[in-house]
Amino acid sequence: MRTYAQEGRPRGARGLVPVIQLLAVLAAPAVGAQGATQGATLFTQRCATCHTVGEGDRVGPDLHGVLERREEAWVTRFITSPGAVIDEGDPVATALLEQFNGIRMPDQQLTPEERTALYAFFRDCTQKGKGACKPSPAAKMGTDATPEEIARGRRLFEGTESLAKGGPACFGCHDVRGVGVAGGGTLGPNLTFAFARMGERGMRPALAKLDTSMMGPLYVKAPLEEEEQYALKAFLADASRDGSRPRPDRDFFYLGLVGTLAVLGFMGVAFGATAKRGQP
Amino acid sequence: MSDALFSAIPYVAAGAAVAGVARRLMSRAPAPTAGTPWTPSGRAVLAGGAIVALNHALGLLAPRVMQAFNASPGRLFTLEAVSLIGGLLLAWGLAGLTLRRARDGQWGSAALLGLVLTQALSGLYLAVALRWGSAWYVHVVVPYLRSVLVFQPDAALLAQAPFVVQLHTLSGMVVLALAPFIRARPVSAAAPLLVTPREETAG
Repeated sequence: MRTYAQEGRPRGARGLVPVIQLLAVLAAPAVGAQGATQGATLFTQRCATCHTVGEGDRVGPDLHGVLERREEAWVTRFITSPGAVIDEGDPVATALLEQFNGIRMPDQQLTPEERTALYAFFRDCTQKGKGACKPSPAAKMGTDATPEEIARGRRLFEGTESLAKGGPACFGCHDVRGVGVAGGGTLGPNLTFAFARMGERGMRPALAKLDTSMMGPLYVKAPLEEEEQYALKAFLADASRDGSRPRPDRDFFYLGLVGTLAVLGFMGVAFGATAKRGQP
Repeated sequence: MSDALFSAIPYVAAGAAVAGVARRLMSRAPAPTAGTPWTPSGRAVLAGGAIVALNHALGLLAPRVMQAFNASPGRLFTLEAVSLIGGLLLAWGLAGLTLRRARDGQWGSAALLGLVLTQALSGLYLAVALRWGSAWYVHVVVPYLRSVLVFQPDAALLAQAPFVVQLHTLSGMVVLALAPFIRARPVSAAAPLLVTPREETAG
């Protein structure tokens, strides 16, 4: 067949065969790396709440080297429906269930492409060695944040904790319900429901790039670190869940007006008294 | 606004200010005496102007200090409230002086004071409608002002700001350029600006 195929091709096409194969070989690592990156994101969003890769057991087992310990087909079957594999009486699945206090993993509806990316991530981690495969903190779901992460996000937003690379705090230009003494700035849009509007998919790249016409030049030399991106995302996710009635805004202008009248009154009394004392 | 305006206006304004100072020196107008009593409007202009000028100058000369000060929402609010009171005092005082000049028929002086009043009112609008100006001023406007001072005007950030911010910045330069003309007193018989005719004759 091979002979026939080669002979059947024109001379030019035959000459291209090794070139195409070479290109495929050269492109393979790049494609694999891209898959591993997508897999890392997927792992952070779907698995990292219960599993680690090389950092020990959590609610579920450490998945470092999982594709070397188990058959890929078994892993696929287990991920798709752990309950079914356990109920079949699979000895490995039963042992895992016992080891992890009878907690059953929920079914994961992954597309074949997502599974491929996830497996590429697992293999990449195995190659790099244990502990070398920490997923990006920014990739974690904003809604999975701990109270400490939300509190840090609030501090970063208000500016009480400085951004690591010296960028300006969000508070000067943006408002979120309940921040500061009288709310945040109004040069930029109100971000109270930004997370609800943009969702996880929109918020993560927005915080990573900060490339709006105003913020782009401001943050190009002082981008947010990944932990900062996550803390801010967590804070905004938490703020967007706040269904309470908004706090009535203290009217900044009326406050200034009252202050001005007080100062004018003081000046009138002070200088009026001085003028009277100066009279003969 | 076009880049040409951001590049040209600061230096044209500086040239006009130099001419104004020269004119004032050549006119040899008598300075108000130290003991001259002040009108309430004059006192308001001086107190408010000092607060507003200090706020703007601090951001321009020490932006990192101002950024550090504003790192607490409480401190930022206090600074903004004090600056707003300063701005309102300035606007109230300028309104009084402008009306007095207009009543006295000194239309040129009234027009110049009216221009300063417009600038103060646009600043008040910024302070209230686009609040926490002291926070964004150091990041949006100060880089432009500093670039102007080193003769390499770069309005990349300011050009993205709302129109009223751009207008306030450029008209501020025009007002600074006209300031020497406001104080210039070629006619020695005219009453000092910050003193009422009644107070002057009483003294």
